[in-house]
Amino acid sequence: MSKNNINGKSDSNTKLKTLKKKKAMWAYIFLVPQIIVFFVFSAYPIVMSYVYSFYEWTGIGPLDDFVGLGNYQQLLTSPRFWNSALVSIYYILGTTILGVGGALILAIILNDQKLNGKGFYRAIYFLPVVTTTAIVGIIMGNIFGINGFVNQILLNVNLIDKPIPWLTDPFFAVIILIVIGSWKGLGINMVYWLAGLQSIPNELYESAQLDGAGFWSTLRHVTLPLLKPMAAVIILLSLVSGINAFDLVKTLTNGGPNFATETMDLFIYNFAFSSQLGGGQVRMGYASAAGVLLGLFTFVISMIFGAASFGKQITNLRGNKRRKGGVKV
Amino acid sequence: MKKISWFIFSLMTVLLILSACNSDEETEGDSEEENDDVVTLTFWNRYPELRGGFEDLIEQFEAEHPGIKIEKQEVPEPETQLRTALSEGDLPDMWTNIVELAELMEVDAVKNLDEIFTDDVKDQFQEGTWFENGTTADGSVYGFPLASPRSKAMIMYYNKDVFDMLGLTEDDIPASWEEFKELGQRIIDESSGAVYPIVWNNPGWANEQLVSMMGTAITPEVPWQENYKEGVPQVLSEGKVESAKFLKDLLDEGLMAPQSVEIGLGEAEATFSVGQSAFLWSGDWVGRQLFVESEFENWGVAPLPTKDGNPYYFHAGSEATSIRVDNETEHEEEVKTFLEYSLEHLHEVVYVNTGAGLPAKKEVGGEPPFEQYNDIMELENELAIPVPKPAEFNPEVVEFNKAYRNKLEVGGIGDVVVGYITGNINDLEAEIEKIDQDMKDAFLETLDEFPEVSQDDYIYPNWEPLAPYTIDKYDELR
Amino acid sequence: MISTKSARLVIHVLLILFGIVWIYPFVWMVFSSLKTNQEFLTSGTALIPEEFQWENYTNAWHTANFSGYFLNTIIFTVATVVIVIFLSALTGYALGRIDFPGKKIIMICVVAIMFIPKGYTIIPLFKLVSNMGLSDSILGIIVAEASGAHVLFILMFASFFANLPKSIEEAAEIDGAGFLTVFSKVMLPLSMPIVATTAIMQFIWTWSSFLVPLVLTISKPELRTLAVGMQSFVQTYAVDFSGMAAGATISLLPVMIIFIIMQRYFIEGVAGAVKS
Repeated sequence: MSKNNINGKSDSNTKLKTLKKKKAMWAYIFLVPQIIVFFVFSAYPIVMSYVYSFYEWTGIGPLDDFVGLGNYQQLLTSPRFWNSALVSIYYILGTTILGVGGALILAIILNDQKLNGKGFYRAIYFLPVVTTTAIVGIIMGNIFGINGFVNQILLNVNLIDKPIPWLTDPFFAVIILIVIGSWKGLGINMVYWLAGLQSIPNELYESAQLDGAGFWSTLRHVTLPLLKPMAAVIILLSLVSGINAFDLVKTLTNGGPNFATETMDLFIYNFAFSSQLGGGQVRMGYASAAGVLLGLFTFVISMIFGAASFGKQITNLRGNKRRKGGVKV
Repeated sequence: MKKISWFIFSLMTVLLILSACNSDEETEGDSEEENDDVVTLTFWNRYPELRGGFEDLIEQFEAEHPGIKIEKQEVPEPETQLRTALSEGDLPDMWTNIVELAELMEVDAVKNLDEIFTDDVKDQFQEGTWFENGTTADGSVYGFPLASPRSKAMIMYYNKDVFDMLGLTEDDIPASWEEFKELGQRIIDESSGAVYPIVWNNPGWANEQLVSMMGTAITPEVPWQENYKEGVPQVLSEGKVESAKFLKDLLDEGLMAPQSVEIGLGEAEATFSVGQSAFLWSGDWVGRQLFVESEFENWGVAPLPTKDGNPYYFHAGSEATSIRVDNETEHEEEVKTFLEYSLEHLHEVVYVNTGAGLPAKKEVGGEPPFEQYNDIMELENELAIPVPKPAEFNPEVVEFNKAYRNKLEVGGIGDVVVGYITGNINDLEAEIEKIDQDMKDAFLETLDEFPEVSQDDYIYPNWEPLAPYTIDKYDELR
Repeated sequence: MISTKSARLVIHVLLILFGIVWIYPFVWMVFSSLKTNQEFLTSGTALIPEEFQWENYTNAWHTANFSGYFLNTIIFTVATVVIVIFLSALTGYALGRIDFPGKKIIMICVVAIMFIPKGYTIIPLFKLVSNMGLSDSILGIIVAEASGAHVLFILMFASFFANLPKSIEEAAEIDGAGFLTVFSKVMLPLSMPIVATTAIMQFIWTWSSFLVPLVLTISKPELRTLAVGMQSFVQTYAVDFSGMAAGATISLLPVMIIFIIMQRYFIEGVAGAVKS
């Protein structure tokens, strides 16, 4: 202590430097686990999925049948692949419009300070979010079956005279997928919107009220414009989570009838792991090529909507995209 | 915020305690087993109708052989599961056949069973049990045969409760499509819509089998996917197309239960057995399913209706139902003990005593649990007819078939038929023709790559459809 | 914002009606699980079973092995959550709190990684786990699920640590605390809100995870989680509808009850994540 007092300045400087060095060393140590895990479980698989995509490979035995761009060529001329891309796009757009739009309306209603029981309603509408999609798909398969609950209700009230094949008619099946996907995701979008709404300062509403603005004009001129930056984030999150429709589609329709509801991720799974639903054989290389295309597809979507967002938000929403789009898949 | 952390930690603690308790139990269980020096064999079964029979067999076996335990698992997605196990090098000790034998041989995954199946033993089995790329490869045995080759043809089950209720007798059982529709309309009218004439199911393979079988009454020269007169693959035939149209007619005219397009076989059986449909089309194994799973015994069997009531058939030995053994099994001796035991008892316990189908072994004892078993057996003997098997004529075609099938986008027309029935495909003929053409192109293209195989290997001038094609007929052609 | 009383009443009625429809599938599931199979097929729209069939649950729990699936899911979820918190907190602390040479580059890398299309990596991941010899144990699905860069969580931790006043660790350092002590005794406890948010979000994701456990347990039925086990149950016992409903209830109800009790924290956690 006394030494410190005598020539404090230079000494504390060197001390600070060693401390800094020491801290830097710790920083590297702290980063090591994440970096190792990242390289082994993220970077390596990304690289390998590109490598596999140039081979014809059943997953058993060595990678020795190099086919160059053959898999890509076949994919781009395969009607089944294009159909799966289309179904994915329908699903992504459908769940975003219904899920994000519906959530906004609900959030505006539930943001009303004077409404009683907000917490209760919030909980009810959030509940599907915490449930397991794969299991929801199985339950919904029963509810929307030909003899399921929905058809029986509709028959009982004489709205229809013949059960509707919700899950085996390609048109209805895609609609049902979108409705259930939106139902499942609406709660989380609602919470996002509420977070955005609560960040709008109350004074703005008060001054709007002083100006004599009604509910609708406040909404149009104050609330919605201020939600714009948030909207970009929420829409992007919804788009990206729509790319992963696997859990629901696999358990609800399994891509049927005749692959009409097969999404891109199910297409990949079918070719990689199920020879019956694939082309009669397991083709890991072909499936990997489809995976690479799905990756590019995700990238393009994120770029388009990422560009609409700005500033720090890009960082955050990108983060979420990787979590949902990357790690889970 | 404190509350949140409190919540998280209490949640985690509860979960960890829960899992700790549970894993304690498990380790205890494991150590007990090890102490007793019991060898556990894993066995994957993919045939739902054999589930109960295998359980009986294993119970009896374990009672006689306390040192061996058989862990049977039901496998709903057998192909995916086996392929994955194969790629991980972690096969079960035994499994019921899935993945073509040729492919398994290529990676040396399946065990040679010649030691058990001597010529004497082989003679105890039905004619047609032993065939290349099924139960044998290059004459050596690679599968423990389960079901008779002369089985698995689809037949028509009728619900006698419904028949009694509507005052119908056996004479009313329709033989032609027209009669079926007429009776169907009568059933609808008389039950005022409570009973559907037929309940069907949607798996692609079942649809392909049904239209192929019904189709043989119209175009008998195409039993499955080949035309053995012309020596080319063929899936576009008048018979198949008309049969698929018949199915769609039934659905559109309200004669087929509407849920048929979204259910599997099990649900169809359940619908039939609660009296919601008068007829059910399915294979020989369904007798047991109705009797055991649905506890329903008041039914009878008849042939499927065909266009003009003409006879139909199914190619015998369509699949080699058999038990395969992992070549790398660590318990070779125990597996052998089990298979030898099975040789004596399996066909009686698993097939006859449960009524789950017809055994591959000749002269099997046992007591069928329901009287209709013999009717089914008779029908199957009539309907499952041996047709030429090119692999028997020239073993090289096994490799050839694999190579040409690898070039195809789809393996059959099942999904197209389902797509057509559900209204997803309008021009059925065009879709089937596409597959047909792809098959022919791939076939001819591959012929050039395989000098050892020629188109003659697929042409059988001495074959008459509907007449059993016996082994000596191959020799006539040589 | 909405002024008149009658308007508010209409809103309440609508919210309740929609709310009933909203959660009806779960109500249907619970009641269906208590019916007999026959009743399930024939009872039409009637909700309440004639007699409660509790044995559907004992059957699912023991015979259909939902006890095993449940245990696997718990181990899988808890382990994954712990690993993710560990990795994200360490990385976030290093990036948010410490100046070290190369920090900028790593930060840029973290952001850049997000712009690389990751593609569909389940196939190589599956191969990797089986080549590492992890496909025989639940460890395989845990590392596969917990791995990857959890950029959102990392950034949450980093911005939290960066915003703490310098005086906190200075005080601890003067008391002679080392780097690790400062982190574990001072900084980490302070970051509990972030830990909680991470835990909640990762918990929901992992408990519901389907593809990774599905693919990695294809050949290992004994390692299946609830979501995957449910799928194979439906395929194996296609006509056991009330058993299906019982299995689904076993899989969903615990999380739903935890959520209902703790719903505020769940919702605040999610909102907190998106705000930051």
